[in-house]
Amino acid sequence: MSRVAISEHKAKSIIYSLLGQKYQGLSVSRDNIYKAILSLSSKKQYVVKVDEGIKKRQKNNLLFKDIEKNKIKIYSQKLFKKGFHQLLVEEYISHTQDEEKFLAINRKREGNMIFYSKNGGVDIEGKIRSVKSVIYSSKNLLAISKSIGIDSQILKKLVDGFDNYYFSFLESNPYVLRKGKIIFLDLAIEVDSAAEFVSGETWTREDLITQTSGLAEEELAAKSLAEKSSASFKLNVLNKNGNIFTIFSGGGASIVLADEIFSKGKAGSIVNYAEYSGNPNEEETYLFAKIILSLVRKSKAKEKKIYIAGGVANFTDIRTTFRGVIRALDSESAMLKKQNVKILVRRGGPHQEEGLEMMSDFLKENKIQGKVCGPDVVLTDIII
Amino acid sequence: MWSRCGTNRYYYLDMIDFEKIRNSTPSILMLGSYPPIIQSILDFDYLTKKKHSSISGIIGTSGKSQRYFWGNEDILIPVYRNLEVTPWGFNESINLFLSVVSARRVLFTTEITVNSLPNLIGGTIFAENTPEIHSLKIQHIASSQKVFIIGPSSVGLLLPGKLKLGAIGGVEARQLFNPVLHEAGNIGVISTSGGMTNELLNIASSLGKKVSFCFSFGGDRFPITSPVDAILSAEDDPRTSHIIYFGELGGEDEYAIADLIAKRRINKPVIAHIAGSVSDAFKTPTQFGHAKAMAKSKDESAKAKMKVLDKAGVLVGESFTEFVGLIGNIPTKRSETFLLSTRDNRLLTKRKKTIFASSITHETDFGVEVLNKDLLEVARGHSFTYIATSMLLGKEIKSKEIEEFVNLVFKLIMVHQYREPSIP
Repeated sequence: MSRVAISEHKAKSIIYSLLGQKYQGLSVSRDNIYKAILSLSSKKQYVVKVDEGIKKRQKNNLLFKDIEKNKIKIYSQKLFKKGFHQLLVEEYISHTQDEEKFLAINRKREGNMIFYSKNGGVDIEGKIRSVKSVIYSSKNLLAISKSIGIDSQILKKLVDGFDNYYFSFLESNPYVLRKGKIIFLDLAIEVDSAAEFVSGETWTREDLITQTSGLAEEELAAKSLAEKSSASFKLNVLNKNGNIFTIFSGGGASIVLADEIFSKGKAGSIVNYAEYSGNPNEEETYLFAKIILSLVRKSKAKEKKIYIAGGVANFTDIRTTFRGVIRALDSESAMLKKQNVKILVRRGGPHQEEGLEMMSDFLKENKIQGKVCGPDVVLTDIII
Repeated sequence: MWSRCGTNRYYYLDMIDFEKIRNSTPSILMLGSYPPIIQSILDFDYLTKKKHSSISGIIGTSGKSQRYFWGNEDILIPVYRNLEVTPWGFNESINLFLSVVSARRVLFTTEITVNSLPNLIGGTIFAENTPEIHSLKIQHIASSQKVFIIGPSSVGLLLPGKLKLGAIGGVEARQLFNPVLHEAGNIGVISTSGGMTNELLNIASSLGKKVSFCFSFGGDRFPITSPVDAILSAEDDPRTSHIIYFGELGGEDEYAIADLIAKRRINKPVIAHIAGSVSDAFKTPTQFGHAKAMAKSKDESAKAKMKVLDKAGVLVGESFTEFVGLIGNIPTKRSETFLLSTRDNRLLTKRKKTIFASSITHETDFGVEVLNKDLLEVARGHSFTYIATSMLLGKEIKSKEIEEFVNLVFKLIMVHQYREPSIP
């Protein structure tokens, strides 16, 4: 659905094999650390770092360098204890700071834009003026490679691979040059996840980094629901003990609704941002609503409100999706009544009459407070 | 043709000539089949009193034709396996396409379509999840063949009273009675989001505004018709006097739009809102529903983009409510009306397919009916034998004896299982 990071280990494996260079980095987790370290040499120094698509690792102490083989375990444990699962261990390349260079490729409408700087390193943001950019083409290849200092054949291979492997973004900060070869001390790649079906064996769905560390169990449940469905489901938990819960629908309308809560100064009270779209079926909508109701149950706040709102759908069936939502609400109706939860509904689209009527009947029958509006009420007016 | 605009900002010129579409008779080729959308286009055509359906054929794999309603009568729309087996003159007769194929087939099918139809003006692509590179390749093809392509992830293009190319405006017959869909006016509506397109049509309608055209360019990273192309098309459309623009956080297209306004390439009033200010409430950059909807840098945030548009002279509604207020202030005029008679209202509800087996079973908006009664109702009140026999005969059986007799036959079949006679 969008640009998603792959692990640094995977990124380097792909790029080094593309350039015909060997790569000996190890992807390390709690399960394989003892075995993995056996193959390392006690004469070399190593780098241990978190490999979960996180930026600014050095600044945040998620990267240790110049480490002996027998210390790797200790440093790895430090990172595991912080809640990380996936680490990268690779040889430390001794170098001076002015050898560190910066290179990035970003796909733009006009073509692949190459960003480069001779002054790479940790605080590249402070040296942003030194970063130059140019749209790559076979005509300016030589000129670009000259100013970057990378052999033109290597640069061509990189950019061709960027397209052929359906990458969307590549960044190395820093890389160093050794005997005409590029050594990527750091490498981040985002692939176009929509291209999974054409990417072949280069990368697969399993390589996409979906950050699971630190996610709430509800977010994980929504993720797994989204993976199985042709429709789209999204859930972010913001403040578990807030009093505003959302079950929004439609990509654009959901943002507009969330914006409205934000502009009313109530962002801090938002428990979750939830959005479904793409005409999910009744069962999927039921499961999704159940996940959010679990958050409602757990929050310690008073005066809870659930917004079930969205725009006027083009093709998502309101009757079907609302049937699922109502089934979920019904299964938790005792809790909703006991906690005096308010339910505010605004929606339109195919079969809206039936959908809205069912919802309003449900609230009446269960004596739950709230209101149900159709498209005659402006989208954001439901937010109070 | 590339145009350079500001430093390091470029825009690509692939504009849509709305007036050309208005002056032509739409003849649409469906790539793939999505029955609710096809039916809604036919209903739109019927309601706006066109002589016949604007959909001329479907490229698909099942059967030789598909059955739809024209008013409350059945019509057949021909289905072809590909564009090589279509009848003589068919490919020449098509001037628009609507693609509802899955993302993995978008590039391949669009390429063949654009290259095989000599009189094509353009089309829209519905699929979500089209790879970025495929969209860019299609853009190249569209540009070299001089056709417009809206999408991917677009709900379509609407020219009130003239053309409904996609789900835009709704798929249920009831939604299509909204006057904004058939009364053409002076406001061009452009939106990233498909759902918000419909919402904006709805808002415009409730404020009594009339629309000259409306489309969603889609929330992908590289919409084939870019936001810039969209605004320029609106600027050059003689029937449009005001432009409504709904964007989202992510991407930098709005900077190019601001540049064009500053350079006086765009002179019509633009009323805009960029959604996504809430992104500030999230700790890390968050990916919202659409592929492009993520602000990795400050420049891509909703606030920054609204600021640059505001500076360029766009009427920016900082909140959605403010945006709606600004829309309310747009002077409007109705240039053309394609009105429907109220009798059509009745025609479109509770219609049923008549060509095959219609007296026995059919689907309505409220469920399945058997012999003109609700299936669940019938099942509750009668035995399986009664239902099965009635359906076989095509009418309800009245005699109790027949029901009992058939029931006995059923039981006998179940007890004495049928065996293949053995060859002596």
